[in-house]
Amino acid sequence: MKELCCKEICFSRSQFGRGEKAILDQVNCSFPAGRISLITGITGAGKSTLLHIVAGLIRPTSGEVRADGSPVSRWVTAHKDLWRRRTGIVFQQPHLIRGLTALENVMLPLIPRGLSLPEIKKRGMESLEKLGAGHLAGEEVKRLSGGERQKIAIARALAAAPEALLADEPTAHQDDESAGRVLDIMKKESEGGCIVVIVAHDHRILKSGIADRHFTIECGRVCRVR
Amino acid sequence: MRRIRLIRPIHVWAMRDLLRRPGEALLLGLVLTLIVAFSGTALLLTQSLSSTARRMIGHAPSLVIRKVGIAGWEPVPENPALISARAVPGVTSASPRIWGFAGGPDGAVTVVGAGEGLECLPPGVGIGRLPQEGEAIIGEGVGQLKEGDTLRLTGSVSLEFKVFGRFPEDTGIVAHDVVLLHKKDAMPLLGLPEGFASDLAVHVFNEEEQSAILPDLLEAFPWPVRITTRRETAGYYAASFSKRGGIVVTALIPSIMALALLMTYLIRERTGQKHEVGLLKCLGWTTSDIVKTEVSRSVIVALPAAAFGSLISYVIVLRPGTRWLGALFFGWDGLPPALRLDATGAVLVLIEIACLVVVPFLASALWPALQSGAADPQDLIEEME
Repeated sequence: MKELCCKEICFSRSQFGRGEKAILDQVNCSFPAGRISLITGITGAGKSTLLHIVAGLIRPTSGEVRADGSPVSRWVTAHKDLWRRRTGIVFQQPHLIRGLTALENVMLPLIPRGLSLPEIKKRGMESLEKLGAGHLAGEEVKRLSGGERQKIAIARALAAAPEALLADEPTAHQDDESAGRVLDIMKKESEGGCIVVIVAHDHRILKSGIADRHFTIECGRVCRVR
Repeated sequence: MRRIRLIRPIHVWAMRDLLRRPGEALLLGLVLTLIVAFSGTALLLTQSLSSTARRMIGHAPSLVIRKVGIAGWEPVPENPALISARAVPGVTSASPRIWGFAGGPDGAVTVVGAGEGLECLPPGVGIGRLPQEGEAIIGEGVGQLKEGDTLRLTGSVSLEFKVFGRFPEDTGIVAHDVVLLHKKDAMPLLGLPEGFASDLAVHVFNEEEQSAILPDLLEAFPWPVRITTRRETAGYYAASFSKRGGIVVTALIPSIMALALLMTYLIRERTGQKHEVGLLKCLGWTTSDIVKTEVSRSVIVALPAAAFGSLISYVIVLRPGTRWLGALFFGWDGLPPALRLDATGAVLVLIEIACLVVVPFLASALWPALQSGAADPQDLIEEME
């Protein structure tokens, strides 16, 4: 995938009898491969919503998301399901499945992809080790700290070698060292030709200068800062 | 050549997913097993009783002719009756039967008088030789007597016999309360004069021509007779089993309710886990993958449960020598007969009941998965936030 592109994206939510609230308004932006794009903005600005629209998790009210020119946001469920396999998403909350170990959670995206179980396990383990979380492989996720859970969530997003990595506050629960490691991984993924989109409040990301492109969201509109 | 893998990671995941809540999975399997076992037992019982009855009726004579008098049944004069019956076109054979009821040690028994052959007993009731005068072969339900003991029977007269043998246990369904005597002993006991029989067993050339032969037979006898056809006997059994079928349906109500409750629980439980489906979709699982997982999960629970439940009902109903069925369904006063029911069609019944239980179970697991599959993943995982 060479580019993900948002064209005239609008998104509004109904407010239970109080009409509709516009979250995104005529958003136009593009995220090329081999570049890290950073989206910042105040709380409630619609950063996560934009990320979820790009990832194909929700449909925009109008406008479309294009992947190499194909309108993926308009695709029917069956095609969109397959499209999501090309992306890796890190949620603001880790969203790990309870009752499974860290490694099992990381293996989840690989299970339906026709690989053998030992191969899935190997890739899962590699992904965990990238994050320096190999020692957590056998731990049940409920026993892990917030930062450790976030690492597992990042490892899960990376496990299937996505063409687009979409990360929502990936360093929020990390100390400086771990945050640096996470950003290094993002950089490597980007250098490998992956589209990396980071949504963050974290000033450490901005200060690190890792982002090739910087967007801000204000009043539902996206402006490119750099 | 590409190797086909029967167990795929998605199946392993389904198993792992079940093991996240092992107690719940076990309980689900147990409830399903009990539902299959309970429903299977009820339906298998009706089916087995029907096929056993059909088998028994298959061995019965085409027609049974009894003489009717002012006071009811009367003994049939053997020779004139045989001559009359054999003269009717279509009749292939006719033989007099000596049987009736007498008082035994534990209540009424069915006395059968043996002539030269064993045609008085249905095939399968294997005994070495016929009893001599003063000897008796008894069924299992005729008192707690051993070989060599004395059996006292009371009918028109009171007589004592030496027990010379017992009918095998597996003949209980036909010979449980039977006492087989020599013809010369049975006749005075049943009050039959010399040259008379209880009734006449008639076999016809073509079963389909029974209705055509009946008027000829009625006319052939110089006295009033009542003729019972094999079809009438079958009708009697059918009516009897329809009545028991009603009992079976009543017995099935708790099973159906349990299944409905189980389905409701499953739908609610799986609907409550929509966020997990949403999360899997976010991670690149397709609706088809989710459905496959749900099917695998359900099959892992339902197949062993259906197999084990079917096995339980098979053993309960068709285990040789089952006694409780006789006590329950035939109201036996004393020792109930050890039934050996016919297993014909049992597999089909068990497959039917397994499908009737397993299919709704699968549907209740699939419905939420299909519903969730069509939704946007974000909407599903928002429940988690």
